Amino acid sequence: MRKLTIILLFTSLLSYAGGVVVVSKTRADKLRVNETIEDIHFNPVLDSLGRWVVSKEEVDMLTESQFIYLKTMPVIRYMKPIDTLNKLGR
Amino acid sequence: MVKRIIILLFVFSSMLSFGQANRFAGFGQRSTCPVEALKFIDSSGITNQTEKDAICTLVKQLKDSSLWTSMLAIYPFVGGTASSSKWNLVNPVNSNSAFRLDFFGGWTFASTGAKPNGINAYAITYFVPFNSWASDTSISFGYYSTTNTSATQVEMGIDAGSAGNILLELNTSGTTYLRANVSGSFNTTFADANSLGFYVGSRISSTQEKVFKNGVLKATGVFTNTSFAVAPIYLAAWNTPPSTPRYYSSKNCTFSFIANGLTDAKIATLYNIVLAFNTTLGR
Repeated sequence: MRKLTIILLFTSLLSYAGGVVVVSKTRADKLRVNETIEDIHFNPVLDSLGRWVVSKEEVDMLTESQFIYLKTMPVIRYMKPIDTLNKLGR
Repeated sequence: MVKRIIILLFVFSSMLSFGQANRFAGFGQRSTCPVEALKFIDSSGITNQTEKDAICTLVKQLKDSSLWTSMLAIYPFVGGTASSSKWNLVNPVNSNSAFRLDFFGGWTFASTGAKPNGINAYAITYFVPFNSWASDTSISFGYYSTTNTSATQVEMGIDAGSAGNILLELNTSGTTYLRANVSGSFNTTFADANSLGFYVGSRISSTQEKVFKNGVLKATGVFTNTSFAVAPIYLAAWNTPPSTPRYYSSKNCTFSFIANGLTDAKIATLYNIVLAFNTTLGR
């Protein structure tokens, strides 16, 4: 029982903090030209494994029926790509 | 009997006029709200009376302290939605040329401000330094953060390479960084215990840029200004060529602005005004 509680707590933390939904490149391109809700545009980004993702915040606010499918997709923890370009010069 | 009627009529009319006086007293209070604030309230569609009053007071105080004329864009983040938060208080018109914000990615809007998620959220101000600042030695910008974190995140700016970089980077591993129209090789920095408060970068000379936290001068960098950037400043990320947002921020923003250069004293005054504004809104 204790193990189950820990697992549930862990998974709920994972799904909340920095959660994303993986989408295909084609879907990412389609989403990019649309709004999640009025005045907020989708912004699909790449994760550290080269997958296109949209954030849980974007998915949570969706009401448009054409994007509701995103709400049924699993939320995973976002893994930030390594900053190889080092634009900040550090 | 006639006398009684006359007396009753007199009492009744005086009661009526008292009511009118009260109505106009209320109207009079509303009319003390600056017209610029009223325009913003109409555009943003905010209905909460506390927020409306706070906006009126904010504009009034900025005018009374001679800060208003220096302001080019002010984002007070009220109303709790993207549609209410996108407006520039200085020019609340729904166009890019009025520096109305365009939001992208995962934002959370609430009465506490606008919170980017640190993954893919940012906003385009459409404020292009080359087009919109009159003098490259008179610039300032700021971001009020109510989130404490220590990751590599940029809250405002544009990467212009060897041209004029704009950068506010709050508390990356204990250091806050500023670039106010300098080449990317330079940073003005100070050791920072957290990322909470009102951060302002300012330049009012060709040789110095300054970074302030909560109205207090934290560091002065002796770096000569360079030519202005030709792309827009982003909020909650850094605009790197060719218009790619990087270093997404996760810091909740309660107020942000872009203005002409401000003196140390004016930045201290601005901090007090913005602090009062946020206090009124309970954030």
